[in-house]
Amino acid sequence: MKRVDLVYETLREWERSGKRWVSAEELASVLGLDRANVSRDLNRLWREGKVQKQTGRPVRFALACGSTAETRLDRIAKQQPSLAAAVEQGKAAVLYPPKGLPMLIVGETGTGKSMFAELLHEFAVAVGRFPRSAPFVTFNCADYANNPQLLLGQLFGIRKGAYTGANEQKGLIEKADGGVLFLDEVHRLPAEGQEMLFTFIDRGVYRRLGETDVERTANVLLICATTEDPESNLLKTFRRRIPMHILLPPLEKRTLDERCRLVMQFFQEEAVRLGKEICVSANAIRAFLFYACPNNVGQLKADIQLVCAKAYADYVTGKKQAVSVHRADLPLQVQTGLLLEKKHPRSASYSLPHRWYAFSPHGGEADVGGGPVESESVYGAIERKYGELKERGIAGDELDLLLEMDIKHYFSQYMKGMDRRIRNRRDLEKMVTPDVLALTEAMVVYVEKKLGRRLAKKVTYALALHIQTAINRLRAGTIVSHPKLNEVRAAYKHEFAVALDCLHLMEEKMHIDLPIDEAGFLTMFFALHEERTEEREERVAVVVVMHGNGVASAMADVVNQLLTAACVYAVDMPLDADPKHIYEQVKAVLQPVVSQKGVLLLVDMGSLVSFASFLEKELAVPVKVVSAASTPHVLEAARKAMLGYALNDIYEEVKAAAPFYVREPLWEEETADQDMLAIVTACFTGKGSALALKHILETYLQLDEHMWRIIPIQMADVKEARQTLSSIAKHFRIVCVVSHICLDERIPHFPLEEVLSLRAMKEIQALAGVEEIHVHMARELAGHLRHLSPTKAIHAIRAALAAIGRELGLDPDGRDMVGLVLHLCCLLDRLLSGEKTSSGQGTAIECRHEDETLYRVVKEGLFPLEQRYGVCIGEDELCHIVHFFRSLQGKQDT
Amino acid sequence: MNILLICAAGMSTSLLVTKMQEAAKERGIEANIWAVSADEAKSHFDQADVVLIGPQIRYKFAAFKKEGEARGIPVDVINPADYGRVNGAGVLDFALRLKK
Repeated sequence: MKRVDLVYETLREWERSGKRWVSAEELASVLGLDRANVSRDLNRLWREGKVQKQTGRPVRFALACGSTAETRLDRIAKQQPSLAAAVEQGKAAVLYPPKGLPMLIVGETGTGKSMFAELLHEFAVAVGRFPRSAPFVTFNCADYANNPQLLLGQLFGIRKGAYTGANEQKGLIEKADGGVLFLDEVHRLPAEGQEMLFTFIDRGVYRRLGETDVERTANVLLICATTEDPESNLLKTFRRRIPMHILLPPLEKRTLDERCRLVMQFFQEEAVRLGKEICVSANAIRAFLFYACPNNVGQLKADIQLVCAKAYADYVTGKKQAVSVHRADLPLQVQTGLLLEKKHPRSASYSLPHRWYAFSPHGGEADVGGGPVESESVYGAIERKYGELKERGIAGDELDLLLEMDIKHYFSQYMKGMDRRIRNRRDLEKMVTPDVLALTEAMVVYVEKKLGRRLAKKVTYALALHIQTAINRLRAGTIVSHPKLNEVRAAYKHEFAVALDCLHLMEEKMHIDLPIDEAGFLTMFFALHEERTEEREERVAVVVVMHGNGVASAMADVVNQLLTAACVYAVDMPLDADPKHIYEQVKAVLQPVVSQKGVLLLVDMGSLVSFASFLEKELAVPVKVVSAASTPHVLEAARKAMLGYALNDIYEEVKAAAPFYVREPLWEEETADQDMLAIVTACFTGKGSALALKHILETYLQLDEHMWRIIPIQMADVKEARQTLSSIAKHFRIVCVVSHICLDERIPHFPLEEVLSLRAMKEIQALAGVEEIHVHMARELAGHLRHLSPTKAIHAIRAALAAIGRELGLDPDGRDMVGLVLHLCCLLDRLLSGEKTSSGQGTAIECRHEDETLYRVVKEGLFPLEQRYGVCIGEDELCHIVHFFRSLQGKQDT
Repeated sequence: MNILLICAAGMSTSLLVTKMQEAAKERGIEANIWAVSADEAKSHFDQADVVLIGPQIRYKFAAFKKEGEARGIPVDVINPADYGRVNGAGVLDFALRLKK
């Protein structure tokens, strides 16, 4: 027998004979051993938790009495033999001289990592490694993963003034001094933080954020935990410093006995919590033994809690006489356990001897507490967080901010989880009682009506679950306050008011008194919807429309394959297709997928650009178009869209990549009748020179003063000047801009010096002349046209003709177009009144064959007019226009 | 005096015809002014003293000019500015000048 065992055995014998509390001296003399050796052995036994010691001189020892001698850690090792190795490792690390070893606990979600860390702390206290008051500080690195600065500040502390508005703040390391710091999800710690941490591990020193002069010391036992493979998720230098890797096996790697013990234990805990006996059928327990439980012990516990909560609700509402759980009460997913049982290799040898298992609220000692993975309701999570942050001495605005970030995060996580768990109403019925479901649905209808928008299905599901937990908790007498009630009330006034109504509804239907805080929670569900529609899952829809059979589809296929996602839609446009049909196809493709984030249209030729404005109106979402697109553009657009970029950002990026993106004509913007014409002059140097320019223009141009304004603007800031320009464009048709730099590519621009030297005057005069003609035309037509607003029609026609010109590479003089504009005004008006317009000589086919491209460009170019006015321009009419453009082509060729 | 206006389908010109008739009346000029589409124009040449073409079918000018020369009738394209403004008086003056 080893000496240490002899000492222990002797202690036990004496204890049996009633002799407790002996000193090393007494033992040594009886055993004939050296006092110093005995003392060393006693201290070792004490460290192992087998012996307790009294303070005072001489130090007296006794056997650690009964259950306290066995720490909870030991008990876990007994109940869960799969964890025995982990327990031994953990103990060794805690006891390792002089200060213990830092540890890394590796295990899947829900394997009990934080519980394990807590037990290690308990063990360290029990063996006297730490005093009873030793802190146990938990920090989840994922909580602040979006804000490394804040994370590091939390961990190491902040020096006043480290950054703007930073207050002196203690770090968690400091708070854990003399105890345990548990870093959960340590793989979310940024590399910078890992480096700071290993300096601390090496030398026991650290600095607060922003400190350069002081080095602080702390004695902290570091326990880290991660769900990820440490090899690939942690810095090598960091891994090396944590030699002790403790693996917690997932549920499926544990024996059926172990799992059964867990199931029994969790039911027992619930019975204690509810203060009611819970009866569970053997079948229900079998289901829990075998169902697939990917999130391990944590999920097992949560699922059992859910089932108990539901059973309790049934009992309270009088549907059941007792709190009982049958197979049929289980969520579908758990019930599948009974099917899986048949496949389990050891199921046959595993039998449950009884038909019923009753868990008493008094019987047994439920190992409550320390469970890190409670199925948290909104309340629990918020309450816990609030307490945690407050404990850390965070207050005021920062607390609010953190809490807000957290609540939002929690809610979105809640929703995300919801999506995975509940796919339809049937699933929901398994978890929520019918009256709650009915109440929720009534509430959703009401809310949607009041807020004038639809709530996502997911919100409905989450709301139902939330209400279920809320009612259960309130009936159990737990009242939870919403820590940010006032902020929520202020931020979402409208939603809050609706939530208050819902509160009354709930009170009426469920016969229960609700605290006003509950409205705060409801508000967040209603408000959340809005943020989510912007932030999550909704993406810009990307559509490719190209001429030729299969060109667009091929392009979309390539991109979808590269991104392994069906994120690009394609519409092929055979050369002889009618643009109207193609337009309808594009619309049909988009309708089911479109979201408020909008649509990016990628087309090959400019003539399809007009689709954008019609789609924008019909689908009521923003639409942008990029022409001359090729595969790289589509790829870029799709990638950005998948990442959730906003339409404008994607548009700007892709536009930059596509050199020939087509600008949308300014005139197409349907604003007030722009009957007044304007020339805008802009100068960097203030209004003075802009005014001087105005004088020059007035002197040298012949303008009908009833039609014109020359508007000087200041161009100190280009962006501002552009805004001014577009606000002017709302009331005037801006014919040209005179300025140093071009402000808007869609408006003719004349450089300052061209005007000052009068060289540009002729051109401006010509431009002005054409505009005046059109103003006159509009006035003449006003009394003549029956269905059209002349000004708007003229603008639309000019835009369409200009687009055709551009597509054909022509730069027609506005004067050349005048006749055609007048012609088209009358034509459209007649088409609208249903008159036949064409004399029809059947030359159409001919003109089409003469020049396919020209024909197609003109046809597509007129599409915006046809679409806008809902008319169809006949073949013969089309041919006139084709001929007209051909003559222009001829004129330019010569 | 007979003035024939030709345009694509005889639509836009009808407005101009009205305006020209008003202008002629004001000045006390006896004028018979009418508009036809390009396709049916040929058969109207014989009744005309002067033929005016809308600028949008300028591309047919050469063909009509030939027709006119064969009959000794002046043919020309209406100035786009006058056409666009539907300037009846202006176009009437133009027709009168051509006839001289």
